[in-house]
Amino acid sequence: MNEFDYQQLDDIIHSRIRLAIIAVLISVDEAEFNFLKEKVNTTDGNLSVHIRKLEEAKYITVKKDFVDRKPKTIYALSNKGKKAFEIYVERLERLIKK
Amino acid sequence: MDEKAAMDELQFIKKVIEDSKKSMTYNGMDYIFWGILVIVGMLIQYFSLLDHFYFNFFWIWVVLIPLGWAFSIYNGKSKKEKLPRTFAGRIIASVWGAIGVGMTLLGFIGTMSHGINPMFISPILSVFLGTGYYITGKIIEVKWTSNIAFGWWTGAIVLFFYPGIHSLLIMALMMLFFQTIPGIIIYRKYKKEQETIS
Repeated sequence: MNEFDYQQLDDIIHSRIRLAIIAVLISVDEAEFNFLKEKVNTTDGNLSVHIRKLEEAKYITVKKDFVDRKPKTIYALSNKGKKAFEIYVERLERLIKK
Repeated sequence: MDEKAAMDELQFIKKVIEDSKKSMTYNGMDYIFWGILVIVGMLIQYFSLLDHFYFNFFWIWVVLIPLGWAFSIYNGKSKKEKLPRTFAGRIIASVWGAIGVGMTLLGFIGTMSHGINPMFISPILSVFLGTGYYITGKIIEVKWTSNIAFGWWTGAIVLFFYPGIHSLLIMALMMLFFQTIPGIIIYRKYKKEQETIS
C-alpha cells in the first residue's frame, strides 16, 4: 500500500475490532487484556486473534507481568501503530472532505 | 469506502476513545485513607483540648503523616499494576504528589520553624486540598470533583476568620465530607468497574 495514497486504508486497522483495540490503546498509555476485552466488547478468543494480528504488524507491544501472583498481559501502542492510526484517521478525514 | 462509512468509522473511533478515557485510573483509596488519618488526628487534638489534656500534638502527626505516605506509595504501586495507565492519571498523580509534599512541608517545617501559626495550618491545607480537587475535576471532566474545591475554599475562609479549638472539629468534618466520602464514592465506582472487567 502506498502510504501517500489517501484512497487506500490500512487493512490491518480496517477491521472494527482491531480499530477498537487501537482506539482504546491510543487513549491510555497501556492496558491489560481484560480491560481491552471489556472496552472492545468481544470474546477472549476473538480478541486474542486480532491482538496477534496487530502484534505481528508491530502495531502494538506486549508485556507479560504478574499482579497479585496472577499473570497479566499488558498491551501498548507502538510508535509504528500510532503512526499507522494517524494515517488511517487522516485518510478517513480526506474521504469525508472529498 | 464512501463518505458515510468514513464518517461512521470516525464516529466509532471517537466513541471508543471517549469511553476509554472515562475509565477509572484511580481507586479513591488515598482519599479515604488520608481522610481517616486526618480525622483521627484532628479529633484526638480536639477532645484532648476539650478535656484540658495537653501534650505536644506535633507527635500525633509525626506518626500519622508517614503512615499516610507509606500507604500512598503502596497504593500507587499496586494501582500502577492493576489499572490502565493514562496521561491524565499521571498528571493527577503528580498534582497530588506535589500538593502532598507541599502540605507536609508546611505542616512540619512550617510549625517546627515557627514560621506558621499552628492555628492556621488547617485553612492553609484546605486551600491546597481545594486546589487539588479543582485541578483533578477539570482533568477528568467530572464536575462534582471540581465542585468539592468550593467546599474546601469556603471552609478555609471560615477557618481563617475563626481560629480556635472548634476549628479542629470543623476540619475533621471537612475531611469527612470533602475527602473521605468522595473517596468512598470513587472507590465504589472503581470496584463496580473492576467487577465488569474481570
